[in-house]
Amino acid sequence: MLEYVLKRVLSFVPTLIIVALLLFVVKTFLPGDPVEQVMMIDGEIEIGSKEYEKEYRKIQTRLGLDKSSFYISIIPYSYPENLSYVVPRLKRQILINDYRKNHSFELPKIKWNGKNNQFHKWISSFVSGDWGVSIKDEKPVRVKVGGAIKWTFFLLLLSLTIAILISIPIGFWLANGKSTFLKSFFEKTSFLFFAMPLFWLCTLAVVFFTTDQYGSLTNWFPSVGIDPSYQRFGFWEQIAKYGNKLILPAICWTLHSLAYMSTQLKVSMKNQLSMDYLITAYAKGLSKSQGAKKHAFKNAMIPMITLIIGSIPGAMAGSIIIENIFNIPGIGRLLVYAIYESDWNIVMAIVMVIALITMMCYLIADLLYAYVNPKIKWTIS
Amino acid sequence: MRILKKYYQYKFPKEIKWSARILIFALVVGVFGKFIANDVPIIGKKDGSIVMPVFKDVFYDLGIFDWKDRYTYNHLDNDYDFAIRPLIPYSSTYMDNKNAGYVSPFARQDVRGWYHRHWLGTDDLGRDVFAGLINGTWIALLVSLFSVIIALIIGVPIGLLAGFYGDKGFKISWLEIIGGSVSIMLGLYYATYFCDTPLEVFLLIIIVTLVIVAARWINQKIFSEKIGRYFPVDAFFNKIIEVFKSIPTLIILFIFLGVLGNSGILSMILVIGCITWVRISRYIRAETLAIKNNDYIKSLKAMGSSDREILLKHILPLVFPPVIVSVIFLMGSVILLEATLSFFGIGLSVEEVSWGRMLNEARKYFGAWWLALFPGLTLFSIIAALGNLGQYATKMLNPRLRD
Repeated sequence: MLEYVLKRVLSFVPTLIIVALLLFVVKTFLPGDPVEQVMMIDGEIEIGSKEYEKEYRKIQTRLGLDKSSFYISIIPYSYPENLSYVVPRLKRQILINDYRKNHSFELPKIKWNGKNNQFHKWISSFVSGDWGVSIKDEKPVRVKVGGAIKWTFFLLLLSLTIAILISIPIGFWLANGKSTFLKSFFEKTSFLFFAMPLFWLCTLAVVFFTTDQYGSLTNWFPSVGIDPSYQRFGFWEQIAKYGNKLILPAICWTLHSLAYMSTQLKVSMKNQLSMDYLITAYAKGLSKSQGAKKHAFKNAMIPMITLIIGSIPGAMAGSIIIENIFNIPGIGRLLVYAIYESDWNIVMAIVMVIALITMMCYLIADLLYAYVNPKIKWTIS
Repeated sequence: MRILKKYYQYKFPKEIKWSARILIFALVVGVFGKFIANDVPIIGKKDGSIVMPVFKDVFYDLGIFDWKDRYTYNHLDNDYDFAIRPLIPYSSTYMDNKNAGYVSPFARQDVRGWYHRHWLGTDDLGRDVFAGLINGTWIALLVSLFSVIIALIIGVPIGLLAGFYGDKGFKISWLEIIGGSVSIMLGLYYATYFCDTPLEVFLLIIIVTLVIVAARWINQKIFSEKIGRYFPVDAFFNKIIEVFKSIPTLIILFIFLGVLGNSGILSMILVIGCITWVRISRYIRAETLAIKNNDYIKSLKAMGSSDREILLKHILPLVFPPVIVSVIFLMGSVILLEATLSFFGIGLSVEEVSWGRMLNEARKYFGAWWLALFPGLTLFSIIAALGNLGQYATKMLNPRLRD
């Protein structure tokens, strides 16, 4: 088993490296110039002056953007070396366009840059725990992501726990006995919430239940949004202060996942209830409810474990939607804002973290499944 | 007429009756959207001659026809001598200044008559919600159809190859490895430095494919015995799929389209297609793997059929039914992805109106319940219909699931 786990964990490494490489490729196609973005926030220096270039170089070196981007660079044979260092960006763009107009289909030149490149620097510092700084406010990325991920996980675990706690008795109730009007009604409405797009559900909830536009009768929940001063407090103080704003998002998320979980539990309960071992149990003298509770329920929970843990990666995508609509300072909102502002250090860190969480979840789900079901053998293809 | 007659004569199975009706209705509304909601008349008489501005508008949207005063000239209020106008006299981008600022469908509207009423209200800029819904149908149709086609073009061959050859079945020689990798590298290099138009990129892709095919052909002709080593096709594509699986699709799309900016529907279709092929190829790989081990495939091999013949003639037709199921489900999730991305203002160009965009408008002013309700309802009904259809198709194709 240990061998299996090690192999799986080792296989994370190439995947993560490919993800990082892909992100780096995307980063090179960014329309803006990160250095100019920092300078725009910092101060007002006339574009094109000597002072400007000096300041530009300073920031460029500080952000590590003066190095070449990858181990090898492939450039056209007559490409001027200093072309990519011309400032400001508009002038550089014009020069590059001129070059492309005058030259066409030239043979490439391969240049070896050695270890002194952005990718090597980024990945080595990422592994060692230094994730760089945010371009927007120069705060360390790790602090920002660490602060945000707490909110995401708190909301995720809160709604997941509620969903599990509700769906177990409901699945039990749905599986046992004849189907009644109430059961089919419940199944239909919960399926409705499941089939509803999550962002529409959230929008409806925000529009109808957080304002008194439609009379004070429907204004049940506090208005969305957590004011930016929340960062002054510690995490639990934040929760104590702004926890009431998490009620509606948790309800939306729970409603969305409730139907899936309860129907899955119902199906696996029904499977177990029709098994032969229950007939033996009844023959021994167990009552119907005893048989269902003591024998069928435990076996029915086996597929649920995989299902619950396997739903966490999908919930990461859901957190983007929920956090942006309800304005919760979690990882999803941070990611979307970072994409809008092309704050690439944050985007890369968050995506790497999400990829790691996803792969870990799949691994844990597989391990737990194999742990509760001894029929499965430890092999890796 | 005959088609209509046949449509009414045909009886859909009971389970999918409503979903099929909804989808056909959405298809018709999406395709003929310009004829249902437009601010220019279908047929009009102006300066003594009869004109049909709707067709002009359709061609203008496709980029074939240049129409300078399309948006500068007010086609709605300017008088034609006589005009047959569409059902809704507004296009999705037409801004009715008199009714700007979230006018409710039930409120008093500053319009000429009941025909000019905004039946489902307006948004902040005075754009008609009904016209927006119809334009949204068109966009959802375009995105789902074409990105699924792209996903099929990429995903079907990859799934077939990975399932059929596995890790030990596809021999590749050094000539092919070198020729293929060099041509791909050169193609990427020329694409980044010297290609400006999509046409050039397309040509480059064709040239690279031709070089790879030529390398394989030369290898087979000159070195008749196969020298080389096994290429782990399955493991290779599995790794790619694993990378795609490790990040939720929505997040990948956010990043790619966020970098491209609001560059329009075409880039959205391309990016969604290039990312969602994974879902199709997984199905096909599993299905091919199951078919491959049948005895009749082995006997075909023994009889000397080539791999291509087996793949195209004997495996592809059998793989087709599960592909239909995955395509139906994929269409639903692509429509949902498009709406979600538009909701966050990513992807589509800024002036385009789609369901997601309209739902986002509702977030700006909570009083506008009509903006929160109607686009979501349309989106929901179409996604639910597709899901129902997919479930029905799964049931039909897998006899064990039939009750």
